[in-house]
Amino acid sequence: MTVNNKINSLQDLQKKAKRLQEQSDNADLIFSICSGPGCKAYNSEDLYSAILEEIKKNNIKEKDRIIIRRTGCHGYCEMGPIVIVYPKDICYLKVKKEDIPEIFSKALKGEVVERLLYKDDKGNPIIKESDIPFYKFQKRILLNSHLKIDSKSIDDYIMSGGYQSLARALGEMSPEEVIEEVKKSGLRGRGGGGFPTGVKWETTRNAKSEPKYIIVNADEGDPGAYMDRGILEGNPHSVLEGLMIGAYAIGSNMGFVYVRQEYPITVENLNIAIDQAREYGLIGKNILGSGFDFDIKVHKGAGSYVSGESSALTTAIEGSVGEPRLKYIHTSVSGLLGKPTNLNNVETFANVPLIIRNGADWFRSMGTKTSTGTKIFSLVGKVKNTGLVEVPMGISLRDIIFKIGGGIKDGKKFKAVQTGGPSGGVIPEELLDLPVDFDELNKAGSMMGSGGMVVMDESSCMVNVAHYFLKFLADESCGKCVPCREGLRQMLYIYERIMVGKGREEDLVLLEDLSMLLKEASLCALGTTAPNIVLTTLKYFKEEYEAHIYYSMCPAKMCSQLITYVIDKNKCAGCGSCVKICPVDAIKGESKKPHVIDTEICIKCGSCIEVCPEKYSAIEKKTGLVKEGAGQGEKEL
Amino acid sequence: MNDKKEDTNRKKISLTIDDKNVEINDGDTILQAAKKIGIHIPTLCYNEKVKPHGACRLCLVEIEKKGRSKIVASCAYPAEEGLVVKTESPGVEKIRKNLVELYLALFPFNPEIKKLAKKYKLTRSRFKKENNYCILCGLCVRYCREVKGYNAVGFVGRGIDKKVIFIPESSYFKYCEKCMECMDICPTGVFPSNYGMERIQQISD
Amino acid sequence: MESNKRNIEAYKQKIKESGFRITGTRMLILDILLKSSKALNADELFFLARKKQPGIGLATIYRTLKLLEKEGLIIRAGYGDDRAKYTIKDNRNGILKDSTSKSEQYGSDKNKIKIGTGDRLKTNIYRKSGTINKSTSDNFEDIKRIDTIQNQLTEWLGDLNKIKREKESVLEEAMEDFGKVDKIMDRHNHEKGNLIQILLDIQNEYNWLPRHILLYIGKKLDIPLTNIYGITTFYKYFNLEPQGKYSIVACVGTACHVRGAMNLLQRITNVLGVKPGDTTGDFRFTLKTVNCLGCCALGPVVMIGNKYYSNPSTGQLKKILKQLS
Repeated sequence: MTVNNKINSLQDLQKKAKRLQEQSDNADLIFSICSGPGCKAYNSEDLYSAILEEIKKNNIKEKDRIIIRRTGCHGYCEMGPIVIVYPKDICYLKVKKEDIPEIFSKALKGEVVERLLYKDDKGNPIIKESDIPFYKFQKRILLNSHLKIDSKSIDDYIMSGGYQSLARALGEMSPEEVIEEVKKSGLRGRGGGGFPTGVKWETTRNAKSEPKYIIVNADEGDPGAYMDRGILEGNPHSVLEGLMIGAYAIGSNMGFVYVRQEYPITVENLNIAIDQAREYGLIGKNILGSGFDFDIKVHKGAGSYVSGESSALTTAIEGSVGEPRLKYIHTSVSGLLGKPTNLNNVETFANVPLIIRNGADWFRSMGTKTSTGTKIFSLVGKVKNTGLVEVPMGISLRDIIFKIGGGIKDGKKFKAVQTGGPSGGVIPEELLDLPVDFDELNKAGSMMGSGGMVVMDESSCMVNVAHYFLKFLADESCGKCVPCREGLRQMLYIYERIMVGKGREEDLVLLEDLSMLLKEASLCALGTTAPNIVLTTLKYFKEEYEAHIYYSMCPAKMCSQLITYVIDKNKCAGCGSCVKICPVDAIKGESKKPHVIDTEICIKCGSCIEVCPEKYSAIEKKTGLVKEGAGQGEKEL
Repeated sequence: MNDKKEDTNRKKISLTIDDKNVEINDGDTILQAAKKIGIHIPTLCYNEKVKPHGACRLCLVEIEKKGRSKIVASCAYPAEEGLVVKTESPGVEKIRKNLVELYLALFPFNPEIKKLAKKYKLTRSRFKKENNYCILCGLCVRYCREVKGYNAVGFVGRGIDKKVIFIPESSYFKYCEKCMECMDICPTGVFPSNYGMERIQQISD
Repeated sequence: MESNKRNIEAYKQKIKESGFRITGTRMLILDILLKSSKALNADELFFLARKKQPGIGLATIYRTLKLLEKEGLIIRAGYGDDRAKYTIKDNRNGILKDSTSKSEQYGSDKNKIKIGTGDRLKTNIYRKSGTINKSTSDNFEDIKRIDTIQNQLTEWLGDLNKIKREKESVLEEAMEDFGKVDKIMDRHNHEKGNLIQILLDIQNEYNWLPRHILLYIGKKLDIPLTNIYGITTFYKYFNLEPQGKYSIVACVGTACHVRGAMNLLQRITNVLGVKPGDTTGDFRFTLKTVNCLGCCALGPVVMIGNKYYSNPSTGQLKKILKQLS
């Protein structure tokens, strides 16, 4: 191992990249195993050890003849684990450990394992990943890098041109020129705020105080959103490079990455990446011979959604409780420790090296006039193809959900899509043609937010969904200001009454009044955006609220107090499977005779419906039969 | 909070509150400016001895800056040259009315709240009653931390479960028995002076 | 009111009959709890008890509460040992109904849901301490340091009357802990601002935050206890109670919720017998909920140990849990 691994110039980087590319091209086979969170949960680690086994079995002794890369998330989480074999570019889906020997031996011969390929509607197999419909309609400028980069390897990143943008910025551009380029590109904050990044950098640069700090917000508190995790875990160097270009632009020498500790693998990959960059001299003193010094510290979160808000984040990094502060002075002027601080999201930083490399005009060519570039969404819920998708701004919701997402699972009907996480709202079918960007969704009452997109079908009750989000926000609220804390508390009381059939007519007015109060009087953005879910569900699904209040019915059959589980005595064969599974012994009946569920005891867990054999399908949920106060226990409301 | 000696050296700025002009030192808040000319803005969590907190949201006012109007907390917003402030605009009144209705469900006995309820003709609250009585204004915590330096009381939890308690419980005997100064600034009178006695009354029913 | 009094008398009679030795202090605490319409914590009990018995000490209250809990006469709920609330154990329900309790969502009294009330894993050092026998100072290099710690301990314990002498091994354990904590604080340069990172490292080491370690950090870094407790109760990752050997983490994120995470959580609660946030009595499993595990395609997901399971049925759950001892 050479003592001095340091890279000292753009030329060094380019030479190294060329050498690494030649090495990679010389390999016989390259296996790209997706090790994103979804595929990892499907045990993609086993695939790695299985391939190592095959190499041993086949007695392949030369290093670098077979390269295995454990990459970041490929995006098609529904079909994981995913393995791509190069150079033929064959994409295998739902790969199991037992399939590896076959894949390996066929790959050596240049052949394909057809049963593991994607099959389109007519049954035809598709070999290349980019031809698969899920990927075809996306524009993956960020996520495609994951395919060729092992998430723990800085060399792979350098091979694909990494850190050359930083070298160019440090060596050939002034900080003001960097800011101009980013401003021209129209890049806007991808964390949900949508503030023009270039303008933010400019304000921080112009603030007259030292030292200046730059922070990456990798808190990603939105439940159901894992875009930032995908980028930071799969390609941490892209974020580090963007961070350093930003630091150079604003004149900062100290950066922080605030990562939530619920992502331990992300923290690990990030620390490895920082150590590797340090070893190459890309973090530290006199980076690439430019005279620019920079150091990074990783700060872990500890389980608080509100700490992702920018003033709360700076408070948390200072070591106190992460509560939002009254910020009548901008963070760009006085933030962390009272000094000018610039805070950006992971995805925002990941876009910066690409803008410097390909130019602002290239970035502007994608997206719309006011929202340029692409955005990564986590498309989850009742949709066929769940996963991370990257699309140009301006694409319609309908295209994302039906063309890329493949439509609704299990043949059910689309009901609504919830965007923007807990701060967003629901969007019904009639508005599905709205383009997705920073401004259009706001007009409908929701927002794009950081990119969470939860698709719901007819079995989701909108009242229940609103209650779910309010409960989340009430739990995560810092509790400082009265409108947010007490307002959310009162809203929860109202919802709990509605969901057990004790709703009153004035509840709808009360909800609107409380929503207005939260919107206007709350201290921070958590409070002001909390009513979005209430207002949108009231606006587009008022009939569901009315059914709950006036008729004690839950049309989607989800609110447990308003539904009853009933066994159809014409269909029940008395097999007794449900009796065994019922945790409260609510089902009684003689063998081979129709059984009956005691509704007083039933806790509506749904286990019986799952075990009832399909040929009978005798148990169903009914609503509107429950008398007031009947069902499980009395709640003190 | 502000050192009186430095007053004469600080820049003077002028702003308009409810169509009345007032001149104050740079760095003072809108609330302090309003106090100077006798305009009353209701507050619950404000006290000159400690730093502003912005938790009660009763002091919200509407300001106009560069043609745009915003709602801000006057106890913390620093006054700016040429600012136009309205303490009773329709927007502010609407917010305050709903806020007072919410407070009526929390702690209706505070004189400020009673006065406002009378003004808005609110006799009952449509919201469910909460008998906590502590509105988590944080005055006791801030007083103990900033003025006395004992740090005997603090917040625990967050969101709906947030509370104010002695930490550790032994500090009550160490500091509070001899001090008891936060009694006077507690707006609801619950904590800590009546902490023991009022609770006992509730419990022995 | 009358029927209430009658119930209380009947209850007292039942205890006398059961053979449980009912001393004055124990009866006092039970009396207060019986007359109270809601659960009380140690603070409140202490205030009320002093009215009847002015000389009573806080240590006595804690000891009595622990004993009554062990006998099954009262049950405890809440986090941390001085924020816990106690109430008379009602044999009909056996569950503490807190207005913000999570159990409302997942089941009714008629379920077989119990609250785990295991004994503490680690002894509460602050209650059991004594003077350090100077002869054991051979084990330590620094006599001055022992003295400082002893002074610190007596200062913390200053308000408790009656400090019993316990075996030195208890204190040795504390010393070992403090040594580990020192190393962790060194890694973070003993900076106050790194408190959250220090606490995270300690939690990774011990799986919970023992109280004596929190007191030690407070003294060492000169941070008031209010700040430390404010932080450990604000951030949900920190555990102020000992955890079970295996964590069972159920995802209740939006995507999993829409796919039926509530039903899954109900099934898990039925199998384990504890509600989210609690540990089973044998300290094997702790049930937790988390807002997103990042594998929404598997929804609804539960992570047991370190493996992910997608929507397991009751039977599958029982099998998985049996394998983990």
